[in-house]
Amino acid sequence: MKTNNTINSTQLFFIIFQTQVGVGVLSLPTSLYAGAKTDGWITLLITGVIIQGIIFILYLLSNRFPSSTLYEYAPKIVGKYIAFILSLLYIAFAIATAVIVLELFETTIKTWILFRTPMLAILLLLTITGTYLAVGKLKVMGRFYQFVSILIVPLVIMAAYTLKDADLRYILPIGQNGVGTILKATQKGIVSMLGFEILLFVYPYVQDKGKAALKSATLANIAVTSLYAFLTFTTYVFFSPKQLEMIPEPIVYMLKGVSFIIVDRVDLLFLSIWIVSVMTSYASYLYIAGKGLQHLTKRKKTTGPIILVAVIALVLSLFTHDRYTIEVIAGYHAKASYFFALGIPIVLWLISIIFKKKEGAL
Amino acid sequence: MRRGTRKSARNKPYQIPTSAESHDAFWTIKENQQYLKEAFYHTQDLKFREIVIQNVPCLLCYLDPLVDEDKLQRTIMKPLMERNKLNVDHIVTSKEIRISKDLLKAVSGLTKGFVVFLTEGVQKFYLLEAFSADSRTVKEPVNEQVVRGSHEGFVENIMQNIQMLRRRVENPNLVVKFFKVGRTTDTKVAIVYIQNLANPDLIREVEKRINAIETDSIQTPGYVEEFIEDDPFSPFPQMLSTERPDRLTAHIIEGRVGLLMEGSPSTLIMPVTFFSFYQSPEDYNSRWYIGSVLRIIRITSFIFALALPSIYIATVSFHSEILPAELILNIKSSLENVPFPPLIEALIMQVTLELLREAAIRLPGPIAQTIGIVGGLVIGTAIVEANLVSNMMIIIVALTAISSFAVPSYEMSMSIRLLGFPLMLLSASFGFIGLVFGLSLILIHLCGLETFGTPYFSPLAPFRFNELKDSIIRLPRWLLGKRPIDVKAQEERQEWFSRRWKRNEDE
Repeated sequence: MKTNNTINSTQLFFIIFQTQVGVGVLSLPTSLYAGAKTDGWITLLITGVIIQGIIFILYLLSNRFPSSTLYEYAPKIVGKYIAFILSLLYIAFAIATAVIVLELFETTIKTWILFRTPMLAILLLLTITGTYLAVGKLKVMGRFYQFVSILIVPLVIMAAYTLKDADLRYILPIGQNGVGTILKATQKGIVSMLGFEILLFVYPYVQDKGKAALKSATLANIAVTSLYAFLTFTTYVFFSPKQLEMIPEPIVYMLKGVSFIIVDRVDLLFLSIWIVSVMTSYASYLYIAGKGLQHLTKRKKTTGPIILVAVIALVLSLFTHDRYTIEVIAGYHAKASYFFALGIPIVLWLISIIFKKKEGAL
Repeated sequence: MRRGTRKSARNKPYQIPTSAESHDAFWTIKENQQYLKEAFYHTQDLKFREIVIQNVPCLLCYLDPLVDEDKLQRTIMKPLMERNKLNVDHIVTSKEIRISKDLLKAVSGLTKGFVVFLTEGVQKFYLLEAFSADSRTVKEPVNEQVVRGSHEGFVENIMQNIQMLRRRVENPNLVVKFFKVGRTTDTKVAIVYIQNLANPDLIREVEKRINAIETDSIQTPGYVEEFIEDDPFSPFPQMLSTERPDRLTAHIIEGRVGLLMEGSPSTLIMPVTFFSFYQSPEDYNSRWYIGSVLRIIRITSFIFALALPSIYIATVSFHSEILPAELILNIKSSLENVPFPPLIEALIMQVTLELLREAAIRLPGPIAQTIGIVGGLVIGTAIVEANLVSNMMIIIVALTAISSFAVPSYEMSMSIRLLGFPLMLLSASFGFIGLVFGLSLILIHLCGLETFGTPYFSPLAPFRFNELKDSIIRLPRWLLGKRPIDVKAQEERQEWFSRRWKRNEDE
């Protein structure tokens, strides 16, 4: 006697939200600054609009096959063999994302909190917890993601508290770098906002499909965009442009200077909350990869595949751990992500429209 | 061994052999008496009483300890002797009379407190009820005391317990179903629910699980609980155990199923959520603000009992910089002379505390108090002066212990304290990071746990805003129009504008 493995539209909102918010949030202001200077926060807003377009396409594609995941309907659109390769690619992409999450998590923890703890121990913590979360089926993920989202509130409050030391002159004049630069930097923004593609894999489990689901995805996108834009904005008005050039993780630095009555190092609290967000996005990618592997190996349960995926990701993440290598991998991963989050879904959607492929109609 | 054979062997439980088999009664008293004696292996509390009615020798047979002396005299012996007639059906005033020819029925009847009435030259015999219903007096359960409210508690007698329920719910829809569990003890187990309210799927599931029990004996409801609970490896209790009739009634009225057992005053309620363990019937007797504050305090106590030592350990051993300078100076100075790391300190104190609790629990009241004084005051002071444990740690552990005792349910408070230990280990090895991961693991477990198709951590996960008003806080009763949705009761509403008189008053 168990409840159904479905999620309601609120849980869908939080699944997308928590998958999107993750490791990238710490380095986001710096990477945006590298592209668009102090107008980075505008870039983020534009990125949000672009992503909204992508989400719409993902939704249209999913809605043509409302009761199956991408792995299940890809064969109907492009045939068995190409679909097989596509599924493999998606699995590889999800594993790669998981590896990058592990890597970035490990380096951040090492820099900020645990300087001498062995790398494996930190990676194992995330792997075990993330696997336990992903193995528990989608409904458990939905419940957990929704519950931990309350932690975003103190996070925002902490960041907002720093606004008392803000200096608006740092970002003035707005738009000084020209529309071209701002638009060009959107590619940096998209990478850190990845995660919305989970819609392709959880859509069949949503209770109220159609408009309600689209609404959830849209709201999630709005929430993520505003959260990121807000955090970026606070760092841009807190640090001078010169400082921003040198600081890799400005939010943490910013909070390090703040103190409340009984808490002297707010950055530690911030990072503790951030860990939960990392864990959720990590678990989401494990789920995506595990689901694919389950489909390809025609197993009934996702438990085995997810554990396998987690082990692969753990082993892979043990190889590379200097900052430089991670950056190179992350660069490749960023380029690949355009294909997976945007390119492939669009092609699939177009094919399914041209050849009138839909669920039910073979 | 092949898998198949092993399985079939498992499915046929071993039963302690009894000589009693289905056997037709004999025509003479002597033979029947002999048979019964042998069926009970000449046990000496099996009593026989020969009487002669209308010149026919008859025999009364009963198990002495089970039979109520007064009932036997008043309803069986006296009518038979005085009226001196053989038509037992009309003369005997027992509550229940059965007629049978099968001696096995006589044997099982005897073990249940029936008197067997045999007649010379007649094969069929009578089973006359004379069961002794003695039980201890109804008292308030010591582990679930309330200040205001009912002071009635269940007793060991299942019938008396059901009587208390029936008095509280005077409704024909209150259904009691009996099960016989345990092959040797043949224990009486009953489930109670309200027909047309409790979800039929739930009732079927409970019945299915109870019927699946194949065991030698059931001694306490804990056995049943372990046999029928969803996740046997979870640290959290998945059924609410209570000795209070008012608590059981309140849950049954919400559409849940109660389980009672002969010989045990504690009853089980299923399905329950995590927050049921933090509610007390008393909440509804005080003003609703107070009830709400009390509930919030209890939920805070959950967080304290679970994580306070771990937070302290993580703070002093990893992140002392998180505290402001004045505070950290105090803490560090108290730690100065202590040779152990905070984890060892915490373990020493926690283990001492558990020892004290375990020792005091089974001692009579006055001695338990002595233990409390010796343990709490003497050891507490001495251990600090001996520099084995710091002042701070004593405060933390004491707070943790007090918090854990604030939980109205004993099982839950034990579970939480137990969960504190792995958390302490994690935070001693990884600081806040370990603590966050540890708490996340517990939270994931809570989110995934389901009992009888009900999410355990509801209404927080899955989040149901409307139900927070009777779980985290307690709003006035007239605002709680609906039953909790997770129980899937057949009727959702439970209150219909009881304060409508107010509308007319203003006119």
